[in-house]
Amino acid sequence: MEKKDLFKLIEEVKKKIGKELLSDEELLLLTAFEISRTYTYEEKKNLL
Amino acid sequence: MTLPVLEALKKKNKDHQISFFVEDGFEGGLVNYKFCDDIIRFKRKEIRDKIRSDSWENGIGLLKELVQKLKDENFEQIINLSQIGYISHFVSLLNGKKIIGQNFLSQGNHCIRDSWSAYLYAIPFGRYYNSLHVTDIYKRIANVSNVPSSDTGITIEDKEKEQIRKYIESKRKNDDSSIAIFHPGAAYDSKRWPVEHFISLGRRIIEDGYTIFVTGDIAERNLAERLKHELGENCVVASGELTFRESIVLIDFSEFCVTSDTAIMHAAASLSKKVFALFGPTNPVETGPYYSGNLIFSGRCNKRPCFCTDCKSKLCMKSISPQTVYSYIKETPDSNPSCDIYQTTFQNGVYELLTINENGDPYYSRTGAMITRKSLEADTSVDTLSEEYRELYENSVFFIRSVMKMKEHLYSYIAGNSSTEIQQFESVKKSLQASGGINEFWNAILNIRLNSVPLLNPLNAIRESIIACDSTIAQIETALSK
Repeated sequence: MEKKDLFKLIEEVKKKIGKELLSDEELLLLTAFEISRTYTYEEKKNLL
Repeated sequence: MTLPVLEALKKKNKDHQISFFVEDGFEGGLVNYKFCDDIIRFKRKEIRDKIRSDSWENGIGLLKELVQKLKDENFEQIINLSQIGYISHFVSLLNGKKIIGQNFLSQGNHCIRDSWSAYLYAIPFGRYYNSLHVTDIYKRIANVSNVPSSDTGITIEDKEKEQIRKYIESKRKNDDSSIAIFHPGAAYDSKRWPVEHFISLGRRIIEDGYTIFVTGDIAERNLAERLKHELGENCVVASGELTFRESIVLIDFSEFCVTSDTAIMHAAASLSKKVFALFGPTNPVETGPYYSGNLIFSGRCNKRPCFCTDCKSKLCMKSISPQTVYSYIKETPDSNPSCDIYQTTFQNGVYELLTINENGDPYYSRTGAMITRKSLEADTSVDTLSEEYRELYENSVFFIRSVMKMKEHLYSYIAGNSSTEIQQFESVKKSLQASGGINEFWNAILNIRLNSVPLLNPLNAIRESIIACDSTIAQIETALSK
């Protein structure tokens, strides 16, 4: 699968929020998405 | 800052196994620590980079593998002390029998159920009304606040000492000299003491016969090299040469450490080294060195603690003069210090700052902080006779009445199903946002509870919101009780 598929999946999970219970697999995808948005200590220092 | 929590947990529950989840590379203080049975090193960067790449499925596979491994541990209790967003998601995946701290619900929202975690998250909205160090709050979250901590934390093995002894021997020109640690780096620029100040202090320290080892990571090596250039052969650049753990071992050989608000500061304090901690935009009340007898030099700026990461003036850090710091290192205190000075101490097992010199604005309202603490520890003593107390009391009573109105609107909605009631609920809620002073703290507590309500079933959400209002009212009533 191409990279864009991950974000497509995340969007689908986000659409479910507030409407239905999320499965463990969906929670895992959200967790992965949150991790993908983080920075390391060194990267943060360079950004600041 | 979590070592005293692990110690207290282990002392309270001797048979329990304690595992500590930490990002790979940040476990330095925990290695060989007798109160931690297992360190789970999380390779966040590796997993993150894979998730970001075209082979993102491999990243998710690694994450899934780790989650399964931790699920298999069948943790009785998971205590999330981290305030980082992804950890909230992560802990929810582990099927712990009990989760304390922030977690992410399958209904799709973050949730904080325990009162001390809510208190922790409320602090940024009402810092002036908190006097507790985060470690003391962590201990309360973990329900071990009544277990005293010992004087030292970090454990160092002989072979580690031997390795660093050899390193020192290879670097130090004067074998008889005592070692001082300078740590000029920090997570962001506003927290750093000007390098010129380090140089000025360094000259005096070297004249007194010390060798200065400058610690830091590779990115901070340029700062260390500048110090070395100015201070000469009795200044050693250790930045980028030693790991965090090795730097901790090096500190164990030193007499004292000069640093701003950094992990090295906490490590040095934990080794019972004398720490001269330089605070500017951050708050020594919340994150000072959590051991007795350390000195905090606090810059004077009327915006402190601003937590600003890109301050242009850096007035606070500049205002801490090398002369003042030096005078305290020499134990001949400056009679006219350039900054505020506090000593770390403990009163009834709780970290406190003893004021040595204070001309700037205090970090917190003593009366206000005692009120918010009493809201969760009913036996907290509060001075109820002051004018300030009366004002805080009246504001809090106003807050309670407003939350009662919010509750009435929710009950009316249940009875009549009119959306106007929800609009009125929101209107009162919004008006509370404009209510300043101690109500900023209460409002944060209320909103943390309301935001923790699962929203999937609207009627249940309304009922749980009523419970959130009730819990907040009860908490404030405890705070105001005689």
